[in-house]
Amino acid sequence: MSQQPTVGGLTAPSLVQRMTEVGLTVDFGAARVRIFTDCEPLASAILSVYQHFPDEQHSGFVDATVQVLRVRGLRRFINPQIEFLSDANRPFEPFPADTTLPLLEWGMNYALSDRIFHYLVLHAGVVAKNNRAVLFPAIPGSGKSTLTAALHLSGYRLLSDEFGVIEPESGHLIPMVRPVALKNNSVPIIRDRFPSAVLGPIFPKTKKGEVSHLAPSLDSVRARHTVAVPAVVVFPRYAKGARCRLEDVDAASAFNRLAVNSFNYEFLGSKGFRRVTDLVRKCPCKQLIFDSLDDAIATIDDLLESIEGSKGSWESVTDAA
Amino acid sequence: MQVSVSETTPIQETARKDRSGYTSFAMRKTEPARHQVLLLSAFDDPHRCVSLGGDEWDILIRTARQAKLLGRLCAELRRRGVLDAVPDSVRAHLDGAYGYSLHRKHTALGVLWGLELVLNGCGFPLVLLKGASYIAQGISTSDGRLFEDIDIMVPKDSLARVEDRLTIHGWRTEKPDTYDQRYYREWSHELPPMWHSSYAMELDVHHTILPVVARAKPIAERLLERAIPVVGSKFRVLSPVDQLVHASAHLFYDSDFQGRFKDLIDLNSLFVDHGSSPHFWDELAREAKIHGLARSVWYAAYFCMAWLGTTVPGEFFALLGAEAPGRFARRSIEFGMTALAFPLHPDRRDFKRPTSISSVFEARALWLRFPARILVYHTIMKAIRSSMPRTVRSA
Repeated sequence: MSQQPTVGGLTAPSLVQRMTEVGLTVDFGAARVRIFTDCEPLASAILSVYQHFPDEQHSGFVDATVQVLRVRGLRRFINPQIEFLSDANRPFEPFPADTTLPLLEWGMNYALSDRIFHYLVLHAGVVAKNNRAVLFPAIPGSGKSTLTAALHLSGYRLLSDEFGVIEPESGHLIPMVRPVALKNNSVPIIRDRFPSAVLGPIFPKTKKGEVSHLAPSLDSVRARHTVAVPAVVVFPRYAKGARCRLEDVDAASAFNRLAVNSFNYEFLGSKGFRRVTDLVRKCPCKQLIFDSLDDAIATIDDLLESIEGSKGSWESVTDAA
Repeated sequence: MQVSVSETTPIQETARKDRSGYTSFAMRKTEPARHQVLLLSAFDDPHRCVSLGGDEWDILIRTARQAKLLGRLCAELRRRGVLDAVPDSVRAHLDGAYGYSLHRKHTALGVLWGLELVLNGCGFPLVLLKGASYIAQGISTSDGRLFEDIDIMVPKDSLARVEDRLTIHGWRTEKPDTYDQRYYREWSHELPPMWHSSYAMELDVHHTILPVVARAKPIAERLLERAIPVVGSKFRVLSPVDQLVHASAHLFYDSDFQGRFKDLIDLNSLFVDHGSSPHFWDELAREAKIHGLARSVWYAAYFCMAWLGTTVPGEFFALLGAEAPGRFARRSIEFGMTALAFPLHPDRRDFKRPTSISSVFEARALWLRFPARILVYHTIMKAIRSSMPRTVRSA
């Protein structure tokens, strides 16, 4: 497994040629996506944030196929644009040509949330230690991505920044290892606190402000088929100047917040209900109010340690690969 | 990589099965695209799917999803006992889409349950149309189908009362401006679409099955009279034959074919569900003529036979003989269906259809829907309105 060539070993011209002709197939764990593009800046960005993913020569069935293409026509000389297509549909209007990776990542979020109906997909960041996972379900602006990135860079395995993918039968978390999208102030915060973090290019003028993507670590990428057991649900709330603390969230409101924040909870019918009920019954549910990242990391460390072994009702983790 | 499917197209095979004496032109002379062949053959003969390679599954699943048929495909594969032979990674998408269709079916049932309470004791027949009626009958046409809206039909003179009751109970129309209101209330066959805050589904209340100004004039009273009760509910559904007449008119009279392949799958399933009852075909020919929709029904039977392998008795085409389209008309419709009804190839790097072809069939649909006077007026109004800002229009 370790000897497989990786995306990082390619060069930008050869990658863009491949991505124009046959596409690059990336296995994120819970889903496999084939990506086409004719933009060289996008290929370069992929070389950095996807560097640890195997360079698979895969043809055949994948879960989603996406294209990020330069828009043709005369306006490309004045105000060049790129567009996102998936299965001959264009879900968004074109973007300015200098926001390649954000368009790809948002487009993949759209495409995957529209195609992955066979798992329960929560809107949550997920990290794990010893295959015991911390879920951060959250609305935008709560600090979910920053916290996910910080924990990942402090030794936690990254399972996902956006999609908390749950296997409906077992309740296990399936990794969807994709770059973590850091927005605005998070970019310098993460860069300064973790100088070794591999960040992709900075895109200053996107719809959501400044965006940069954190590359998942080699270990997280390699473990993308190793499931984790949910250990604790933490609703993060960034509050400037606040003392870092945990507050209990009762199971009923945790249920609501998880279900409402899910991409497909209602499509799964009673299966979805049972799965989310199970989750809030078996896991302690907390709200984390934080300002300092260091305090937040220490709090999560302690929390995970304190519940070690106390909830023994889950069956042992098996390798889904 | 396997090429099993593209060697003999199902179209060529079904052309041989063709008992009407016609051969399907568009598919024989213009090479059907690979994604079209895969989609057609999956519904024509699901057993072929067993031998598909990974790249063929990839194209098929993406095409079926765009055609809003992925859940239907799952149901058909299960019905023919093929689902268990599907590779796991593909199966997950079929099951997922099927689960989604169940969710939409539950939403539809919620709307129907609410409507039953709201319209209880109204004293006139409440007839379910299309998707809602397939659910109520529990026929295979509804299995895995993607339900987008609820269509009901009531007598025209009860329309105002129905609208009042629905409005009192929270149903709202989204077309507040006067031109749209006029469009629906004077020319159309339905009230403006209605929405309710409790349901994620649109409600269309019809009083007949084609716009009142359309060239064909189906007899609404007759359809309502022949409707049959749904056991255990206040609703009725159109008689099996009338369901076919309505679905045929919907596709071949009142549409521009764009993305309407799923309507052909509906028609095909209706033939499968209802076609074996005695006198079905005689009655279908008779009613189609009475409602002035024989041509549409002819096309429905013809396309289901030529493209999807449905067995149509030879006499049926003879019964409609006088109403059969001429060669040019038939070939044009085949050309339009081939070019427009299917989703675009999923790997295309362009998301638009050639406008020259689509505008011809848009014009045909408009021509059948409106008399010349209204057509000119509507076209001018549309042009003026599309150049105005939205706020001015809805004022």
